[in-house]
Amino acid sequence: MNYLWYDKVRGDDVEQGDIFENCPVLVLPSKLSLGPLGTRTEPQDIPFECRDVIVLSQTCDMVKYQEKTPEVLLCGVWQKSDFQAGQNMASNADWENARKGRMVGFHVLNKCDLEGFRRDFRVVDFRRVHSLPLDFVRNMAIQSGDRIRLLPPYREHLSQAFARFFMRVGLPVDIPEFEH
Amino acid sequence: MALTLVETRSEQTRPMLTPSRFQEWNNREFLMTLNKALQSAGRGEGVSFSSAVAGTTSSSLIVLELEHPFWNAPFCLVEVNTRLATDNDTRVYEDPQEEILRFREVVKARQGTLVADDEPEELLDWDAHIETPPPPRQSGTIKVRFNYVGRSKPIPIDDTWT
Repeated sequence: MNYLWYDKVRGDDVEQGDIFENCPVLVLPSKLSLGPLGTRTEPQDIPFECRDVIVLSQTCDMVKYQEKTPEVLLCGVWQKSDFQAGQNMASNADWENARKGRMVGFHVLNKCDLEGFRRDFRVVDFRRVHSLPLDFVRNMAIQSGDRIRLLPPYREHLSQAFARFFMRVGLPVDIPEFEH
Repeated sequence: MALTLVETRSEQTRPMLTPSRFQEWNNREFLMTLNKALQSAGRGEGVSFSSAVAGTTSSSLIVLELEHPFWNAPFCLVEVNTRLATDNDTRVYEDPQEEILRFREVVKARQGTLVADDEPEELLDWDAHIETPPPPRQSGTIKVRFNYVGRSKPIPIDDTWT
């Protein structure tokens, strides 16, 4: 039995695991000033970047006409070939550690061999989280034409990894180690 | 671990590889007694017995005090002091045609390599992150005028479970 990782989809149905390439995300400057409540600012230059992102919101929250959320949670995704030597995640050792789940902030996705969507291995960066209006994402989905969707159980695996990362707790005072 | 006792006889003197009744009896009794001894050892009772096959056989439980939790599992130690066939006083007759070459032990055990992960939790890198992400394929700026109207309201949902 062939458990495919991805499928090609089109249309404005948005599901968890949908990958949007070149999705614009705003990078708000640290010195952004909104002024006092009830005022309108002068026009400002706000930088944006186009990133590859994957949907992490639950599919059941984004069902058409039964939406439970006005915004979609997305995580940044990088392809293995995006990294240059010397960068984090540039070495195979890093990718192997991430693949084994030892780097809790990352999740590795398989390469895609679908016709027209041949892509390298990808890593989901749980520390780069974006939120976009659901209507905006639906519109982007229509404009994208064909796009790829991560299939079960790989998307549940991704969702679980994100939950594990998000729910981590670091204790300020840990229990001392038991001596053998 | 499976321990197989193989008795090899000369094919010239005795082509039928059949042990004598006494040898067969002794071997069976030895294995049955050893089995009981191992069960007793599993209950924490050290057992020692003597037999025609071995002078003394003792079994006991050993708990190692090592760092890795794998080694904290109790081990069963079996000590067998072997004796020569000529010392076997239960042997009541000798078959001159019978030439016992020797006993041979074949130890069949699964082989595996233990992974040295003394502290599995330490293998998790909670802090790994991408300091400098790959450059975006496209970037730019947009002109924005912010109309600061305060915090937004939650969207009304009648039944969150439907």
